Amino acid sequence: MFPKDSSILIVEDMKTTRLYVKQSLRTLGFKTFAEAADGAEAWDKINLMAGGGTPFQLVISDWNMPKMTGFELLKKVRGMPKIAGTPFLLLTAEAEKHQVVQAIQAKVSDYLIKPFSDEQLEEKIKNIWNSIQKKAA
Amino acid sequence: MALPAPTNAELYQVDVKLCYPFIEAVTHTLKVQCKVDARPGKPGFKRNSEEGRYDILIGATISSDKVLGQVVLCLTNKIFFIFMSKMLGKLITKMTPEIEDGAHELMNVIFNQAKKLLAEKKIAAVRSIPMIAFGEHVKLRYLSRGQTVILPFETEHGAFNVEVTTQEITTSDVINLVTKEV
Repeated sequence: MFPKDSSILIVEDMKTTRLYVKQSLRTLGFKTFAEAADGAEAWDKINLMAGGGTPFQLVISDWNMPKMTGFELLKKVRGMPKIAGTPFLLLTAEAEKHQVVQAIQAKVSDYLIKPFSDEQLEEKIKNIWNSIQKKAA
Repeated sequence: MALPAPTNAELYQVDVKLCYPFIEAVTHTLKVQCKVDARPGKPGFKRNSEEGRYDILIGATISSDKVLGQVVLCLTNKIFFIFMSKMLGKLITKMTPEIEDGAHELMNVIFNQAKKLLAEKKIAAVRSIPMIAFGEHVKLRYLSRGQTVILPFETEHGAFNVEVTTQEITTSDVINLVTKEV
């Protein structure tokens, strides 16, 4: 599992959903979060942190957002060699499930369909961590 | 060419087809996201707007090729704040812009769940941006040709309703739509 001091970026335009994700992550023992209300704000924060030598260890992003969608953010992250390997969990509505194929092609780490429980979020984060460990081995 | 008028049986079927996905979506979303067990009761038709006064209404418009309608989550302040408190893991006692967002998001999630289930029944539903209205004992009235179905739910924290009102799309609706598009 990701170390509990991992820095996690939560990207979601609905503040209450950001709070919900943060609350779920706290339940799982995580403590360090940053938030962004859309993909564009997230992209700025990702660059800032990477530039400062402390990149985010996990990005959890909604798909459907103004300015820049989660999918566009994913493609930008994967397109920049310095941060291309950032674990990226995409949150999606049931209605957007068919679009997930595109996200998989764009190398999303995993996706989670709303609504989701703390346990489902934990399972996804564990899966992402395990797959990173497998690749590293 | 005039469209054939739907029979009563067909209209009833439309209502039922529309209602069950919402029952499932509401129970699933509240269980997963708010950790609340909502037990659906027996659906019934709303007879007049005096029936049911609520504090918070969260609604979305649905439309498909066959039907237009509204789905409204009808809650008391008490139960809405309990849902939000359980969802966010902190005590919520008043409406704020942030909590309004939460209400919209809850409706979005419910609608998206229902949309998937409706699609399985070959009903392609499109929704509008959710709306929220709040005040003391708000009366809910629809300017609709169709009937309103009340879907009652019970929880350990109290009861709430989901109201679904629909009307079939008539020939004149189609003509209006075509005229507008031209």
